Amino acid sequence: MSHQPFETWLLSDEELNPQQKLSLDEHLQTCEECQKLSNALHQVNVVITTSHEPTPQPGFTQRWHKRLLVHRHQEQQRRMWFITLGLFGIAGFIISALLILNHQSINWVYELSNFVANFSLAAARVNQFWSILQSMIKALPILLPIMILFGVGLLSAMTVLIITWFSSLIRLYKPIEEGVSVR
Amino acid sequence: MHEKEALWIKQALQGSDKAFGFLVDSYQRPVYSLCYRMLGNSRDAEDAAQESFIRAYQNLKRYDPKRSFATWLLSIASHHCIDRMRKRQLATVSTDVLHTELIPDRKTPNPESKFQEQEHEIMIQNLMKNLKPLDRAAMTLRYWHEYSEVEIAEALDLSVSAVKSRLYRARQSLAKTWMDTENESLVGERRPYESPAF
Repeated sequence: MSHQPFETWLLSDEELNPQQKLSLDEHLQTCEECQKLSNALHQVNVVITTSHEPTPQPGFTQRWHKRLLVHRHQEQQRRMWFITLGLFGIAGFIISALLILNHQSINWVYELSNFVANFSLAAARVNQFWSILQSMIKALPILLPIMILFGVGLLSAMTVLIITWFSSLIRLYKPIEEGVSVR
Repeated sequence: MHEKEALWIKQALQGSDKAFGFLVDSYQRPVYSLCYRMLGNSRDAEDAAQESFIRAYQNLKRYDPKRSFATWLLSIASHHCIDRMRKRQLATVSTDVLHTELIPDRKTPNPESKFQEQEHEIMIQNLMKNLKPLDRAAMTLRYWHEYSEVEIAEALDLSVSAVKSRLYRARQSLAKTWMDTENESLVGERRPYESPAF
């Protein structure tokens, strides 16, 4: 049995005219397959229309603001990496170009390996310096009060020493008054 | 467009996070709902909805005020979910995730209705699991957001005829899955009463 155009009518979203509706109803009474399809579509429709609307957990906007900050930080870091790599790339290109222009007759393999080795050594040192700097910055909140205390102590000791020194100098160069014997 | 909404968009374009926050607050439900219907679980839906809003904020300059802001937002969310589904091959939603998150909490005021709601949710996800990402997006916008075929075409960057054929195919697939599930459950129910095969 032909299921067309009834199957198309059932599955499409188009509005049927009264004649088409009548024709479809007649077909559904005789065709078991189209009847099953019609029932299934009806059931699916019921399931969809009676479903609840999923809602996010409370505080969605606050979480979004936090996520935006994290996203911006990551973007900034990514940009910094691109700039650094770009600068290294440009520097490498310039150095290579200079080497090519100035040293036509040198051993290229040796020079290139030497350059790569020096470059990686420099990169490692920069990295090491950066990690030391980072650890120092991290330790700053702990060390700062101790450093301030030590500095204040040192400054007071120096001040006392300078005052003592000056007072002894004044006493030493002070003219001796007549009739007063120096003991 | 709503006056407040236009003002928030204008302020957000000038860099006000707070103004865009108001837009997030207003549209969190439809965007989350779309992501949930597309991805099938609350964890992925939350992540996708948050990411969609970030993308929308980043691309706010591209928004055409003549268009509906909601359609533009849902378009971003739909494309993001389609990408995620393609990447993670989530076209077949893991019902394991659903089952673990659908265990009703004892503190819930009405655990029975909650359980029924969750059963209903599993049914929907099982029906939708065979749909391709784009068909799923079209179905979600048509049935849960009551978008017209023209609006779906606009949101998904498709022609109206393409939307019609996708909806047609999706309905066919849903009906087939329904009939298959019904047959399986009938067989499953009959099995205990069957006479053993000697």
